[in-house]
Amino acid sequence: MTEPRTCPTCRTPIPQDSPGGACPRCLMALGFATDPGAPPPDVPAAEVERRFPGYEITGQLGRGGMGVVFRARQKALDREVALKVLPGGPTRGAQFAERFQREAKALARLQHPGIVQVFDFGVAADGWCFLAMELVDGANLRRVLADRRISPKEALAIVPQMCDALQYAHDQGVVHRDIKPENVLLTKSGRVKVADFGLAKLVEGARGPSLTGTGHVMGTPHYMAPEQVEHPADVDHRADIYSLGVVFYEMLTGELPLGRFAAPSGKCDVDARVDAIVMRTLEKERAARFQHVSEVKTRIDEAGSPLPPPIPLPPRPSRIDVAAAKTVSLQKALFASPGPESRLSKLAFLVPFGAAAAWMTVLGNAHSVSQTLWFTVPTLLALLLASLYAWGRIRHSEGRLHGIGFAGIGVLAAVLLVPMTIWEVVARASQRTYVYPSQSTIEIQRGHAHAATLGRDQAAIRRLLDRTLALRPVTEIESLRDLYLPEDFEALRAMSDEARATRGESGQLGLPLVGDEFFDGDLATYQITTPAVPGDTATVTMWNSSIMVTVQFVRADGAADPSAPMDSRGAAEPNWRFALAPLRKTITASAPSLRLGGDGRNVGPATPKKPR
Amino acid sequence: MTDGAPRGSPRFATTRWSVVLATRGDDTAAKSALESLCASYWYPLYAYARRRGAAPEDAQDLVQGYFLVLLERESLATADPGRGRFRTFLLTAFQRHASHVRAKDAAAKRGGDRVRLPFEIDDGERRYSMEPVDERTPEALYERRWAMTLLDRALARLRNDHRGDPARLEALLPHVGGPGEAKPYAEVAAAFGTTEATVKVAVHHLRRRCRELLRDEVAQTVDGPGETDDELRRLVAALAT
Repeated sequence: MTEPRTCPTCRTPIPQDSPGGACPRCLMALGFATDPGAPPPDVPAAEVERRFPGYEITGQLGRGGMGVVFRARQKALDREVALKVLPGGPTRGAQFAERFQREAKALARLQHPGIVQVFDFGVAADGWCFLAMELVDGANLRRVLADRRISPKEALAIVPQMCDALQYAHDQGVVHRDIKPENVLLTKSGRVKVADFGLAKLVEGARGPSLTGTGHVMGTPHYMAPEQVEHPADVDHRADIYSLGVVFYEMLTGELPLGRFAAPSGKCDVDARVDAIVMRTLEKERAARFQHVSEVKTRIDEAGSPLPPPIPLPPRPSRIDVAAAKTVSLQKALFASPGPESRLSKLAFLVPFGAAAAWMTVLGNAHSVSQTLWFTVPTLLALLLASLYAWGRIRHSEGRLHGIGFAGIGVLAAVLLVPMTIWEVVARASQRTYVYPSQSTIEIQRGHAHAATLGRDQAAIRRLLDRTLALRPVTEIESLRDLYLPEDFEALRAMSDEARATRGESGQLGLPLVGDEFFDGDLATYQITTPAVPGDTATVTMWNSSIMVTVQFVRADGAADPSAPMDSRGAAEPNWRFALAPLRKTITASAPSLRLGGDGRNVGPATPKKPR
Repeated sequence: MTDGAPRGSPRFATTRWSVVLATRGDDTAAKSALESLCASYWYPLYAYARRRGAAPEDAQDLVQGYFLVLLERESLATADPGRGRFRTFLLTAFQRHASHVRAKDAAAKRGGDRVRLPFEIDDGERRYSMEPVDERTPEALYERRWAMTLLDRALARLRNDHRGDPARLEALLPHVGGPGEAKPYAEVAAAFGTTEATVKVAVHHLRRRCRELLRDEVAQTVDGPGETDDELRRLVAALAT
């Protein structure tokens, strides 16, 4: 598989089935270019100096479709200039010279910090002509784009400067007609200067009448407004607005707005307001575009301001809208550094969800109400912020529902976290002795939860618990030493060693069955058939990866088990306390202190229930 | 876009589609013009039918049957001269044909005395199997294929122009679409023992010729001079999707 090549002109991948290996889009675009990328003939410096003796050529700056640009010294004023030379042709006559002079004079009158100044111009007798222009120390936007991706922030700084320059020229009655990255110069001091104003029209005159008879098309196909292609004779300043839009789009997305193109926010980190601006400049019908390039700038300024412009939504923006917009601006302010902003900010807004996940883990280890709140409140705040951000994106994406993913996660998290938080806080406040220090002790608690529930044969349950524990790793068992009475711990150790010694073929630890108790292979289910009351059975189901334990207790007399199924976390506090008590060595395992009342509720501690 | 350009102006009266439209397919010249157009542009329809879910044989039958109807019967009365595009005519008429055939059960019509069309429709599946698997709609695929076919036609003519030195043409072709980069020019120059400037001029000539050929090919499928540019824009857009 060969690596897909990228067309150097439109910078889209060249498909493998491309005819002749050329980029099919650019090939097709050739069809409506008046001059299909004619390389200007070589222009020897000597020829230029001979025709224009006021200038001394010191180097060549570039060659474009319209001519060759030299670095030159204007002898009379001893200043460096960029000398654009358009070699002559047989079709040029006196009429052309007059027209060139007229156009060039108009260009020379354009004086604006954002426009490359035309100092001088001239036409030689044989039709060669030149424009002497301000020499700009910097690079053109095409070269910058070829080197690196421009950040949305930079693009939003460049376009308004272009707007200023274009608006000024339009006010002077000059239409650029060929706005493209090659004509946008970025100076070293960060200024933007637009070059080659009106040159398209000037050169159009230079080339004489069209040979095609289908109207004369001038410009660079991908940047041309539709009307420049369809009605080249009827082009006004709004064509520049379209081309500006193409450049704007290209800066934001790195692609040309060809075919059914995506909104910029789908490709980079800008909000729907910028989408709206770009899309409006790219309207096919010029009446639907901005009518003045200054409007583009105004809209960009509004889009960059911290508060949203009055958005024409049915009622005035609700408080949540404003909050959402502020969140969006906050996010922009926080992550507006150059570079892969989009990814960074998105990652940043994943933080709340990461925090939520961490919270889920940590909550189990929180020992007090204050600890619980400490973890919970920031998480919920972050969640709120993320939801506002999502809300803002959705509201401003004009129905395209950007941010719906965030919103979905936010809603889901809120649905899960808020009730859990409330529940936890209430539970923490009411259950002082509820402790989950570690996995191994959770096991103990589980066991004792059963003991509490099955209180009639605590010894059997205790044995079961010990057998459960015996199958844990040795290190965990060692960590229990302090919790056990010394003799009990020794018994546990012995059992553990036995379990290891009788490791089964599957590699699982095992212990020989004692009496009629039954271990399921993965310790998930116990069936105890040795309760104090013959015929009673209890099934304890432990959900391996959670803290959920259910106990199903079936009495021999067929009566429903009053306490089952029971959730370990839902177990009544007295049971837990009871369960933990033996480990604190405060109660000996002499007598179960649980008693079921007539309504099935625990009414103990009381005298041990006598066998029925 | 119809811009009111006079239909049947001497220059464009000779393009194939305008001949077909002007005579509504009633005379021999129009028939042969249509036949020649169909011979070039059947594949986009085939790809369209396949992308719509037709099995290879069914797509072949559909396209074949469609062209038979189109070429044998005087069905061009359905062509609306005001809408002027061979591309759109071909697709909309094909869609009508397809639903008509579905209604009458295409399977019953398969086999029998098939008339061979003057183009190699059996080749369609081989070509279709090389289509990229993507999310394109059948219509978008059709337009893209159309554009590529048109490019192929233009390039075939360009190759015919340069049959004396095909290797040189193939080396230059990748540069015809765009300005290319300085280094490859130098490489091409070195490969052919010539100067970079000569290569540039050669590319320039090729571009100019390519442009003429492209415009001519597009003109063959539209009904008036004013529509060539618009059709070109659509084709560029079709290639961009």
